[in-house]
Amino acid sequence: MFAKFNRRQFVVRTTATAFGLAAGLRSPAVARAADAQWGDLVGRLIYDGTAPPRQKLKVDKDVECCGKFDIRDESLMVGTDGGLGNVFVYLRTAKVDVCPELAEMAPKHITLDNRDCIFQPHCMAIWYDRQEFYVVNSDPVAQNVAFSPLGDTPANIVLPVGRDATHQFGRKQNLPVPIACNYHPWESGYILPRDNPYVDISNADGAFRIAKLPLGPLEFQAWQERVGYLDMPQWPKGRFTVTIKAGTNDLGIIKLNPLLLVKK
Amino acid sequence: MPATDQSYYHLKRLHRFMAGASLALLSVTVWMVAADHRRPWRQYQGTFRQQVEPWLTAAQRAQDAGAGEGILAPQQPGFGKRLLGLPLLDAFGRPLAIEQLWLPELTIDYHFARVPRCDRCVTCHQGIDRGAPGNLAEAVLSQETVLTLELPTPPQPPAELQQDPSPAGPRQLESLYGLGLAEVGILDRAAPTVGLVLPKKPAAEARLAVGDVVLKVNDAPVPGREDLYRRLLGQVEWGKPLKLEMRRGLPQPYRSHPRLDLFLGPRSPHPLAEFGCTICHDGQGSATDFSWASHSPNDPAQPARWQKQYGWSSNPHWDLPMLARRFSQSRCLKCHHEVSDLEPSRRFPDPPAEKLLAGYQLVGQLGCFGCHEITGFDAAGRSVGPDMRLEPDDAAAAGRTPAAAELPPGAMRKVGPSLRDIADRVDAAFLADWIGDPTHFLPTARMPRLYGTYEHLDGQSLLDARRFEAVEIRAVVAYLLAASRSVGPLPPPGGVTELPSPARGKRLFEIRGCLACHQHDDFPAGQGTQGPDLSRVGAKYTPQSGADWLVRWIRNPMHYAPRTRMPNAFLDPIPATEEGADTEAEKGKQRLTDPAADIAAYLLAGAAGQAGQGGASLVWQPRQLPPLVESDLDELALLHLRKTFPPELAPQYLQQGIPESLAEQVPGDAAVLVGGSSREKKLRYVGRRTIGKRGCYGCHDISGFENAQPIGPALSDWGRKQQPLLAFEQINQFVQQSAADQPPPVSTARLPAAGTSTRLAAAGTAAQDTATDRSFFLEALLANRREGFLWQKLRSPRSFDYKVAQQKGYNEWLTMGRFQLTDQQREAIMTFVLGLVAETPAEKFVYRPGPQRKAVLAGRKVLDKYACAECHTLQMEQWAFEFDPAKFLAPRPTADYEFLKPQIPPEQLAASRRTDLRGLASAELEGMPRLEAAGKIVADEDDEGRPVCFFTLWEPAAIDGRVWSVGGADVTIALAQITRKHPPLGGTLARLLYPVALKQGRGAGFNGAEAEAWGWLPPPLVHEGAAVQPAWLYDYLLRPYLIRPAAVLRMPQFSISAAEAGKLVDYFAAVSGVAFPYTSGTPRQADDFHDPRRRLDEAASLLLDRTMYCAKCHLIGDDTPGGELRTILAPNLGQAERRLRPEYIGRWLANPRSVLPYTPMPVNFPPAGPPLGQDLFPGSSQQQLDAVANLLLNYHEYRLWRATTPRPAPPHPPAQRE
Repeated sequence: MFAKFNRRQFVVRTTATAFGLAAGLRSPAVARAADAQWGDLVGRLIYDGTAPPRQKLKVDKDVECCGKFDIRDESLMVGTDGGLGNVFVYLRTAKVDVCPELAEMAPKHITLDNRDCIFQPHCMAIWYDRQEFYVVNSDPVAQNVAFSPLGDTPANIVLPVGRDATHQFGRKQNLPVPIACNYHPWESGYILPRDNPYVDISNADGAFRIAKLPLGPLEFQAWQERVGYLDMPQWPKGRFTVTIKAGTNDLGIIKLNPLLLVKK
Repeated sequence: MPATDQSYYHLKRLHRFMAGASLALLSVTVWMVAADHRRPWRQYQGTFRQQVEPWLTAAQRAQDAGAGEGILAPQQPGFGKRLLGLPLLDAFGRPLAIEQLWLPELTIDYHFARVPRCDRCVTCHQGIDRGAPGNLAEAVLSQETVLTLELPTPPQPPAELQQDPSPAGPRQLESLYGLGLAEVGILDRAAPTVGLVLPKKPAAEARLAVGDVVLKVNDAPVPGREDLYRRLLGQVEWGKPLKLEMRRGLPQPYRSHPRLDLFLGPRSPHPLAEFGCTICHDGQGSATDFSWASHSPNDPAQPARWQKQYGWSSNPHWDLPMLARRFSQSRCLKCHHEVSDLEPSRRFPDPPAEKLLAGYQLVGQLGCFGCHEITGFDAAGRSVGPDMRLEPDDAAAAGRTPAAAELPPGAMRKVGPSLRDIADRVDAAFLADWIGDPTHFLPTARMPRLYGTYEHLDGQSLLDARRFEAVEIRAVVAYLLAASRSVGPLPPPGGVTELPSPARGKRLFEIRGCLACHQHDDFPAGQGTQGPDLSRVGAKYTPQSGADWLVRWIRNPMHYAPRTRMPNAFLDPIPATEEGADTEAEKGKQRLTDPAADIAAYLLAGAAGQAGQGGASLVWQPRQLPPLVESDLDELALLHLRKTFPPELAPQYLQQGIPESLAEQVPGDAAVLVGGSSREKKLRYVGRRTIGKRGCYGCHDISGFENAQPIGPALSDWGRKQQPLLAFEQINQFVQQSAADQPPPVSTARLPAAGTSTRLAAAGTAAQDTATDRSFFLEALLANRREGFLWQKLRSPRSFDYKVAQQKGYNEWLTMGRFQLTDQQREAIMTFVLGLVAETPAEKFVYRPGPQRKAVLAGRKVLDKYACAECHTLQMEQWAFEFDPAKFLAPRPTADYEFLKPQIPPEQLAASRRTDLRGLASAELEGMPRLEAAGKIVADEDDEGRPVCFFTLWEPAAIDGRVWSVGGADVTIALAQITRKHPPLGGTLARLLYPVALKQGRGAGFNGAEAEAWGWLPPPLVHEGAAVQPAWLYDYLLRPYLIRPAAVLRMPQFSISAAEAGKLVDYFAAVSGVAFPYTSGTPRQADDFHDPRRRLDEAASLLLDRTMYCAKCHLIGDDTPGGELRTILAPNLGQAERRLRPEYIGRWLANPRSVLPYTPMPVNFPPAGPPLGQDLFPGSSQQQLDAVANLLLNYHEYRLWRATTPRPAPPHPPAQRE
């Protein structure tokens, strides 16, 4: 019981730290404090149309536990004002300098919680050589977490009720890695291991901020789980280059044609 | 009379004469010695010894010294050797001599005796077995080719050259490019020849090799070494690569034999000293002259070239001229009687005899053996070649064990469908159209064209052909329909509520396995060739009865044709899943569909003119036959009757029938005429005679022809058929008169794509100019050579009747039909047929596989027969790639059970660390590339932007000194560094259906990883023998049942015999390398259930736990896990004890991915970290694993024991005890 309490506490703390870091990085105060060597990239992704209703997923395992949740498709998360969430925006340029502050502030773990019979959060990024992937089961039924990163050791971790585990990725990925639960096939999630902290996942408003980037021309990548690369005329294969200047580099509002997000 | 000094002749004149004669004799002697000295073999041998051999010696020395980089100064022969090489003197020291291989066990047939073979080919071909792969001399002795390479240059010239731009010499060349030139060239002493390539330098990167001759630099010729120094060091645009045109290798007779790993090499299966040359190549081995050795040209231009170069002329006095190079694989059949033993193997992944194998498969696919017996045994019952006899018609005879002196029964099945119930399927109009020209209905038909090939006929012959063929077609139709007997219909499946739907049928056609064997225009990716193209098949069936028959046939083909290779796909009724099945109104009401009816509806859709769901247009009408001319029928019937009955009685029998009093004596053909004659009876009589004449029963099962013999000449030793016995007749005239010798317009039959066409594309002739090939064969035909005859026979089989037909009766004309073949296919068949020589050398040379290999080969035949490999992968892909060890990404080491760690010999690991001159290491992998949802290879890029892919291992690999396990990380491979790809053996359908199954799973609510979809498809069987128990597999093959509920299609049931099932069991055991004999199961000791150490009750709590362990996904006996999603249901563990091998269960439980890399099963017993399930089974992961494995192996006994044995009472809590 005691051990369980500790574990929960750990989860809460780690998650809070992660959210705190993310919130901190987005805070204008921190951005103002950044010295002239670093710049932030911000933008907002808008779904330029009426989003289809999220389909209810078929839940037919562990129904006594999972059946009570309203589990819906998370592959297209559009906010009330059209913001497109869960889009990975990350630095594609390899071997860049990393702001030392980010290294100091990075939490030790990135946590995936099996809660309410879904993965929470749905999308994650991890600085693979500094952070561990921490998986925990908060549901009253067993879960498993399976993923096969390209060129890296695959894992299929069983999580009995209340158990946790850690996993260390061995290399960076250029594409987010799908996460599945074989017991509950409706569950899905994505994690992007990178060798730097320059990743953000758009929030419910569609906004993203990649903080403290080195200055100069850098190439970025945008990826969404339904369609993969956000392939637009101005972002071929989801890639775009921005010359980062000190301070905030605002891409403004990027409107996405709904046809772009139709599953192929 | 006293003697005087006076002579009767003029002394002085005599002296002059003697002097002249002596001088003449001396001149002749000198001329003789000179001529002998100048004999071509001495020239070749001398050149090799003096110019080539020093390179090989130096290469060997460099290799032995471990330097391995080069030969700058090959040692030239010393003065003594050169002196002994001079005319006259060479008689003493014999530095040059005829070399011969004496092969007493490989005799040659001289007609009157079999004499030992004496091969002197190596007298000239001195380097034939030198330059093995990996040897420094490999490139030197390779086939002469011209290559273009790019030599990188540094961005700036070195300081030394900047100061003095005049080019320097060898030192600068070496330091700048790592390149050195030899002091002398090989054949051309002045040619700039590479003698040194230093590792990790530009020359090594450009893949230059020792012995290469530089011909051009940036397209400008390089006449000599000095010029080359100038071009490489002075006239350089720095930073830009130099384009080098190189000549690599040597011309004949100096080059080495190709594939020394297979042929002639000391470690090859055919070492030179044991096999010699002519056993494979033919030719006169004892000859030392080019012409007398009977070299045979390979293209029409070669004779002129050879004549000029070697003084070649055809040698008509030698019966066994060398085979042209294009047929060199033919002779493999002398010793490789199984033919399938020439398939690529692990030891020889590069196909050893691709063209020959393709020919063998074509003969099997086209059913040549139906008319031409190919018996693999001689009169004494010894194996002399491939055995392709038809299986006996009677099933009892097929299964009978032959007596000792009797040949085993044939095993080939007729390639065409059974016609015993043809009237139920099609009508007379279709049948007549099909027989007249199968390509009219099916352009890719394999059936040969038997009618309407008139290019060799003219005048009266042509008129006769037209009128009699029209009669014959009607007559055959009449006979087939009259002899047809309905097979009792299958009872319809019960409970079906839905009408047939073409839309559902189309989907089922795609995913229920039809595409494994059939093609359809709606699914162009499907390339199955076992069965016919079904795009328009619906149009051939008669509207009602034919359509009904099709439904029943699809449901269970074996009910109608017990020997069909089409299986029962278990198309039982299934619940409707679309079209409103999930609406509220339909809930609670079971709606069932009949998949067989749906598929039939799809195939029939459009038969009435509308395009089917698939869009394939079925609008087709049979051609109208001209009206039957009764007089032609009578005339043809009379021709036949006169063969059987006295000429004076034949007309009477024709008009009035055969008297019933003669019924007992009348042969079967004419029985129909007993008791009276009519038009219908005459038609049936002629039809039966025609079927007998044309040999239709060779491919089809036809009532009344159960014991008929093949109509064509046997091919068992056709490759040695005496040329005078080949009836060339007037073929020369035919060829010359036929308009510019245009081949008859034919399309191509659908024949194996994966096998044949790929093989042929690489067989060396595909790229050749077709016109050149045609000229070659025409020349052979006009010269009355065997290969010319065969070529024409396969191309226009009846053309040998040109101008002869009119001399023969209509029924004596040639009957062979014309097959649709491409030039490559024709040549492949020729390669096979020319190899049928029935000349088996001494027993020790015949390939006799060991028990394991024998089991593999026998199994392969069964696998091929039933096209098992269309669905199942039998061997995964094999890739080889290069990499820079400094940049190669290796995964983090992970914890694993000791017994799972692959054992790779240290020397293999050490070898994997070796790098070549470029500093690159290499590795070979077996497995499959990662695929994305659409079935394409996952592509990514590395930090430098180079495209990479990911390869999932199915066999452990040694890479850069490390062991890579199955189930671990995928290997990242740069696409540009893949050096070799061998495709997988089989599994085409699984790969084709992968995206379809994934899409279907996703549509059903599955969000899991893409890899899992592989588990819903026919599984790879690469480790099947190590996984399953032989007894179970045997039963399963004969009576398959549903194992994996999640699979989109299930294993069908074939008309496979018990013997064939046994061969398959042995095959899988053999390829998996499990212990011999294969047919007995691994014995298991019954467990002592009372032994508390077994802890079976606790293991059972793990096994049956529905919250986390096995029962969460697996069926166990009658227990099913929760959930409706079929995609997550796993096999029934109640079958595991019968089905799986004990050692396999242990591996599987410990790390499922190490056995099946795509499995979704999690690691329930983690090898590291705290063990799970301590509330159910306190103990380590290893203990849990052992206990669960033990329980699975004794599950039924345990259940029985537990049902009859009360559980011990739990120990009282201490408080209560007190």
